[in-house]
Amino acid sequence: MKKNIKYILFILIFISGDIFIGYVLSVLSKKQKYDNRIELILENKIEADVVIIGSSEALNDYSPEEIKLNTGLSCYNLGQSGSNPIFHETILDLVLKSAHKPKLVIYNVDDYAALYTKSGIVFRKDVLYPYVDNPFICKKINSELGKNELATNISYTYRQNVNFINALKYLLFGKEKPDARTTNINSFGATLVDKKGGDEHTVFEMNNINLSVLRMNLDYRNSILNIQKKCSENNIQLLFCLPPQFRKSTKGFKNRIQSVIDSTYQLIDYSNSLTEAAYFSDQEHLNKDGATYFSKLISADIKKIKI
Amino acid sequence: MFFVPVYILILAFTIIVDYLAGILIEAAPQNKKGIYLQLSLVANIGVLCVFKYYNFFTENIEALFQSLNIHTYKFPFLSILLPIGLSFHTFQAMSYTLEIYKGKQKAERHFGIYALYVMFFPQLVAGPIERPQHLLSQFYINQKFEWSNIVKGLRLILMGLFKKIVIADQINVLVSFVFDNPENSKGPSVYLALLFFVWQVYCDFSGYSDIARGSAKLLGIDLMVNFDLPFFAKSFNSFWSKWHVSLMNWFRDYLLFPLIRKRWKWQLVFLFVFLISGFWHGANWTFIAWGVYNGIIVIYTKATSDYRKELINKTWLKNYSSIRHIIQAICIYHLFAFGGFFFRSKNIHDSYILFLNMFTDVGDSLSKIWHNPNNMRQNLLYLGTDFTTFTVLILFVAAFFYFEWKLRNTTLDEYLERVPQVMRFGIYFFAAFSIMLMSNIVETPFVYFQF
Repeated sequence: MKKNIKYILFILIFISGDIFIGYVLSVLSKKQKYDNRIELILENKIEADVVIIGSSEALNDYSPEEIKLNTGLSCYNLGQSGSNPIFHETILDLVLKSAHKPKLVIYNVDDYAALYTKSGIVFRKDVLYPYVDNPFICKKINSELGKNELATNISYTYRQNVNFINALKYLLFGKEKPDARTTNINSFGATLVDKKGGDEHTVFEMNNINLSVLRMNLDYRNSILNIQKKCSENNIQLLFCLPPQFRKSTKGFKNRIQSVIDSTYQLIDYSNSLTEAAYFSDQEHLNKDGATYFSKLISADIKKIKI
Repeated sequence: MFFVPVYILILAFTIIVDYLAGILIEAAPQNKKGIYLQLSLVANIGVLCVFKYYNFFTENIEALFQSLNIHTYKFPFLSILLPIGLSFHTFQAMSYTLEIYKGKQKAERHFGIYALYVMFFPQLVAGPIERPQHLLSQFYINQKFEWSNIVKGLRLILMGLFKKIVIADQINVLVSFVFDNPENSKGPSVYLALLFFVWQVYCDFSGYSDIARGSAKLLGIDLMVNFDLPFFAKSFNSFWSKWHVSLMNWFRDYLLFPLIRKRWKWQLVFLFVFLISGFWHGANWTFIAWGVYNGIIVIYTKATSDYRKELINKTWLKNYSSIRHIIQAICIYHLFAFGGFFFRSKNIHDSYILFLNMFTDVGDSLSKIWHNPNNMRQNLLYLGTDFTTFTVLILFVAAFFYFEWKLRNTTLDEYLERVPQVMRFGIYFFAAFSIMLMSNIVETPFVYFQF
């Protein structure tokens, strides 16, 4: 009897410890993150008519504030640096699960990284880690990391273990310091970069990517098709944009991406619409002035869409 | 890793061959025993050669002829996968026929029991390479449920998982950062990666051995200790009697002793045994070089043992055995670590580049680590991770090292039985939660599965 009580006590302490550690990790990791846009989606706090999704170009190149001023439509930027189309689809899924569905989704297309594997462009699971309590996100993380579903459901610590290092970082250094290019999110979700001008000597460097030798990433392609399907099913307008570039576009890429986009959706090519170095922070990203200017341009096209 | 069911036929082949060979060797007159033994060894080594070494041999023969400008027959390339654990269960099967030949083991008549000896799941893929005397007899014991076996087994599994998940898998990130980029890795980064590599390979392999022993213990079966705290050894020779014990014993009994009995020069015997041991690890020149490197060090330490003892006796160190032991442990650790240049590199060229790079830009790298321009400390010191991740890892390694130190004169079970209950459960909690916290963050297959 005494032995049994000992074992029951051991199990109870273990379960309590598991819940406690998991809870602490969850709370601290959320506090550590500067960029809390995923939390805002999950808490239904994003009530925007227009939502922008994509990678760093989406994050840096679009000023939702400017779009709102010019179109009268509320706008929010959900771009995430270094993210791939599979991640963009996940973001759209989260938006569609929230209480407020947008009227228009602007999908910023990365030159060749939208359909081809490119180093540094990944499924940003680290962005989702603090919100692993959400069943949809938990499932995504499990499949990305090969985590055991049953163990994730049983142990709170195991489910939250992806947040261990970030929780420690919060304890050691406090809240994450925003990065000027990737996480310095303003109240409209965008990160507008102050840096002006690119290196004059590298600006019009030839883009030597030869698409014919690259194999199309079918998962990326499927995600772009899924994004269209999901927008269609939810009666959401979808606009594909190739943003301004301070370099030459990849030869043939526009045709490739066009072939993946349904004819009912529009792909607008802005890649040559801005040419002054003063509008760019580097070859691929606009700075604040560039984003403001470009947002005016895109606002004019948004106005033409029946929303 | 792939699941190819047809590969079970390889196991079936060696099991049938060695089962029959065992019976035939036992039944044969003395002058005929050798023939059956040789047939069994040829079958086993043949399987190893086809699946593990064929492409290596043919590629090198072709390269040799090409370098001599001789046009030769183009050997076909075998696109086959290396069956997991092939080297382990083949060596275990060979030890069975060898022991029968030596008259130290009776041939097993029960086919199922013999098949179990070769395929016993906990040690099938990465050892320990058991002897028939130790393992076969245990399969005849009528096992009964014993709580103590469960406790001992779970303790070993917990220890093994801690080593593998909390230390080896996490260290792999740091080590790979350097070894996957040999051209860009310089000075202290290479040195650090080598030091970490030792922990990775030790915790990875000894972790597996612990899990194997623990799993077997749950079933009431005792498997041999494969790693006997090798880094607390007092000489490089003694290190090799504590590292991968089951394999080194195999080489000692079936290769080293017979060659010494044949009056080979001991230096040549050691060099040969370590060369073969390196080649056992993989069909790559890096493993051969690793074997030769260790062989040379062993020969050197053995040859100079008396001289070094005399030298120590002339210094103040002779009165401080603890300090002497620490210095010995540091030397052994470094000697083994430098073997990592070969063991962990993809090819000899990478080993060479890394070796040179370890002495390149040392001052500059140290200065960058100190001043941290453009956050360069992250690459040079934290080896691609960040301060927090690196520190957590160091703390885990330190905790583990401290625990191993505590175990140096005892066993895991004895230690855990001796400490107060609160501390015992504290250790269980710490290990279990560390495993839960670190699992699946980074996942790496067991290093020794490839062998």
